Amino acid sequence: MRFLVIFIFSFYLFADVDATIRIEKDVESRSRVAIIDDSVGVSPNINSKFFDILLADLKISGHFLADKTHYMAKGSDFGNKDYIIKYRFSIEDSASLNIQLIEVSSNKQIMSKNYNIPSFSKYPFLAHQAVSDIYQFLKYPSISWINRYIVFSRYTSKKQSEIILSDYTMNYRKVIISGGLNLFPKWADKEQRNLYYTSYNSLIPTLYKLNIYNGSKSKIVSSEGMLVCSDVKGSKILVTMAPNGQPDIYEIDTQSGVKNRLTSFSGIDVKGRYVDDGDSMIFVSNPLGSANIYKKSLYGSSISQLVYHGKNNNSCDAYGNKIVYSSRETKSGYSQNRFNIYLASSNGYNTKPLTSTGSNQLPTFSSDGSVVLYVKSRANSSSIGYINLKDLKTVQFPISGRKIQSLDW
Amino acid sequence: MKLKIFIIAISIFFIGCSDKKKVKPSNVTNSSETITIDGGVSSENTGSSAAGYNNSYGGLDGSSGGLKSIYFEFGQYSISSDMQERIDQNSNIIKNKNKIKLEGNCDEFGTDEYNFALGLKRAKAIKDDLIAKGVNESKIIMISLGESTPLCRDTTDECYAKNRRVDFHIVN
Repeated sequence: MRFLVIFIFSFYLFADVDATIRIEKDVESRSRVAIIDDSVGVSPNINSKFFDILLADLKISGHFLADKTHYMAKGSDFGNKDYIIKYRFSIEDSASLNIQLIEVSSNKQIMSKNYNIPSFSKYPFLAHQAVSDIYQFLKYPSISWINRYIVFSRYTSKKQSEIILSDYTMNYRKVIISGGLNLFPKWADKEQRNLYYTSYNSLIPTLYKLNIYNGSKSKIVSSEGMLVCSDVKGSKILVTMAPNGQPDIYEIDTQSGVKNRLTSFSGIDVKGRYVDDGDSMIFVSNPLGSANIYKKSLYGSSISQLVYHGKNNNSCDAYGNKIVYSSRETKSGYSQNRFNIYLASSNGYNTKPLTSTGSNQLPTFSSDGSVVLYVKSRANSSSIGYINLKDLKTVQFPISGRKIQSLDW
Repeated sequence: MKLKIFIIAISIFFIGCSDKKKVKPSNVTNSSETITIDGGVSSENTGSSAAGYNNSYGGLDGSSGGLKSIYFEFGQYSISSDMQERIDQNSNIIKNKNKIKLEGNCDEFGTDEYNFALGLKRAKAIKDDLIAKGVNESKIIMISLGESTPLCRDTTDECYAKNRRVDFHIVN
């Protein structure tokens, strides 16, 4: 009976997920945790959002079996839990959080931390930081990626777009570039202090590097036709550009300005991603008529096809010797298509589906390679999803507004 | 003591600088852009599109200056024979102009990086055809706009077809 209850609970928690997600058989091995709200003077709406963010953070990996009940400070029996997370969230000019981790078996507080963030709107990061600290305290695998910004672009009207910073749940959002057509944001460093983006506001597309903390901005390169920064490795970047009207992938050393053309196919070559030790790249090309995933050494000419299924595979990412890509599996060129995301080794072997329903695109590895982000589109809505590669847990968050054009995290 | 140090550290970590101030981008000359620093994250307004073409929309569809857009099949960048008459008419107008801009466009299917390349290949196909018709290569500028500039947002095949095109604009 107990297993049945847990089964139903788990199914509800992960409802609306992709069909490849397993019903976990190891729920008994997870730490059962309840969250107690000890906040004072916070509006119920915001406090409810904050609780939901804490809950989502705990659900992001398979280590906690989190009780979704929003407990207040008193009057509940938590004898069937392993831990209690007690929090006090407050808002004045800034947002503050005290979080305590209590071990139920010993009834002892084993961790307590205070957090403050000057900008109230960034309060989701308080929850993320606190939960990732709890993971670290309990020596669970790191989920520090939940503290990172996601940067994405989306169209607002014809030839108009905006570039937005958000947290991984999309609860925090801030437009950082608006007006005109500015696209393809890409973090320029691991610390997320600088980003590359392409401005299409003049006759020639131009790639800029912007420091989001002080606003300093420098021009990297211009190219007729198109210009996209696809990947970053220290001072080197992979870009798709077309100085002669032919879209090819180049590696540019941003310090020396040296450009090295990596592809020369007469069709389309885009989306270069460093792979393995960084001496090779995967990319999207169409030598057989439709988009597919290929691999080549940065210093050689031989090219190998990595994927042998799907009607159109036009998005990919790489981390170490792993790749992810989206694959169109229906014949129609138009809507109602099914796009699924696959994980494979960088030589194209060990292919494993990560999704099995709907339209799933823009797969992107987390900074530590443990999680894959993707965008799931439906008829009138879309959501951003995260698949934990270790246990295939998935969580999704709705995206309001127009569809995402490009993203990075 | 450790707790105080931690609170200070985490406050710094969470991006200080709560004052709002406006600065000019340090490396941009002759720019009207304004960057607002707020909580450590800058906002930039780059103003409206600064393309320098004749935007009178006196032409058909997405083109201007009496020029006509050229349409493409799904996923393709080869010019179909039924578009040749339009290209011929356009080339006669272009020969008397200093400079023109070709804007490649796509429907909304596929990822945008691939679509930008597809739009550019469409513009390049038109450019090559214009050169073959005697237009001076130096007169032609190309840019791909991917799926950013749809003429139609309905979910019909007819609508999607209107968005797979190359627009012509005369540059002042």
